[in-house]
Amino acid sequence: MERSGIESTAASRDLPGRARDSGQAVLECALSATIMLILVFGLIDLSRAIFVAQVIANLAGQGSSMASRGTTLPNTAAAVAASSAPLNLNTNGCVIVSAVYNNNSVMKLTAQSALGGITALSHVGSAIGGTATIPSAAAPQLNQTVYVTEVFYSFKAITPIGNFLSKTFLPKQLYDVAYY
Amino acid sequence: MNRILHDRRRWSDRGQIIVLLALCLTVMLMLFGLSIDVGFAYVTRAKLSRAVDAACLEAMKNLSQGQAMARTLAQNSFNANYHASGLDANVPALTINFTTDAFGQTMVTVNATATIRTFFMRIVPKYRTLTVSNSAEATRGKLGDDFGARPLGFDEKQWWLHGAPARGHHFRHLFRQCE
Repeated sequence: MERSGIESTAASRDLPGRARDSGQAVLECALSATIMLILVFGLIDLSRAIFVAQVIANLAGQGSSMASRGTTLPNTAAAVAASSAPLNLNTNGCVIVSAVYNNNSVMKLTAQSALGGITALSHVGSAIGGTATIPSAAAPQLNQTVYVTEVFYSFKAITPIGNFLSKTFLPKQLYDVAYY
Repeated sequence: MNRILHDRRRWSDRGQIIVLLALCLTVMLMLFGLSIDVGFAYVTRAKLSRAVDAACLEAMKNLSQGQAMARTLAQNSFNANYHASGLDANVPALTINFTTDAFGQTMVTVNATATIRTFFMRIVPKYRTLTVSNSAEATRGKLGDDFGARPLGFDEKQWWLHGAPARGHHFRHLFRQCE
């Protein structure tokens, strides 16, 4: 009984110190959780963007490869869109397949086919029969055709940090192109 | 006496979370960094794969103009399809070889190696850069086989590529669709 009294007295003497420490754990938890969440959210959306970039790089290459082997441009665009899973080019993206012909050293856009859920303007050009803009390294030889596949994808972040990164660091629309 | 011990214990607990947080953050940052850097390596591999395929086809398509010309055009095609970025530590190394297969057909082999900088993994000196390689091979389809039966000369449908087994299969699959 006496001992209990001593403990009780000691505890009451400790109260001011304990009061000073109260909430410290909550504060530390909040601080560390904030840092962790920022990192995790940022990582999630950055990884998603990297994944999309990888998929559209492959899609662009496969599209041009198919077109250069004789598949018609509409069929190529349809095949690229169909094989874009888990991305959905039919709603969040667009694929444009173009044929550029070297006519006496003038690059002419001879055909083009677009498919997708967003509006995108081809960097090659859009007037059939008009001059096409392609890098000199990709220009075909005289009387040859180069097939250009452009893939656009509207990237939407799913985390608050990803939304912030979209305004500053991550592109809103990812783009890739292949010339075969 | 009890109080003194209690106070000392409380003093010794202070700052513990900082140490734990620092440890956790270091480990997590290394894991995050690994995923980001490896992710970029995969993107580079996809670009490299596309570029070597394009270079290989271009070389084969223009083989009639001579190997030197075919090599130059393949190099151009590679450069157009491999969009170098700030990630690249140096210009990708490209080798283009022309050989003859068992049927006497010219075979084009393109190998490329890119070295990319890392963002997070560079804290480990060994991983300041990552090396990514890819290769492609093209040859003419032999007349009479599954892929090359075209009596009226060769056209682009008769090129087929094979690199890694899965990729080769994929290209063959595409080829059959074309047929």
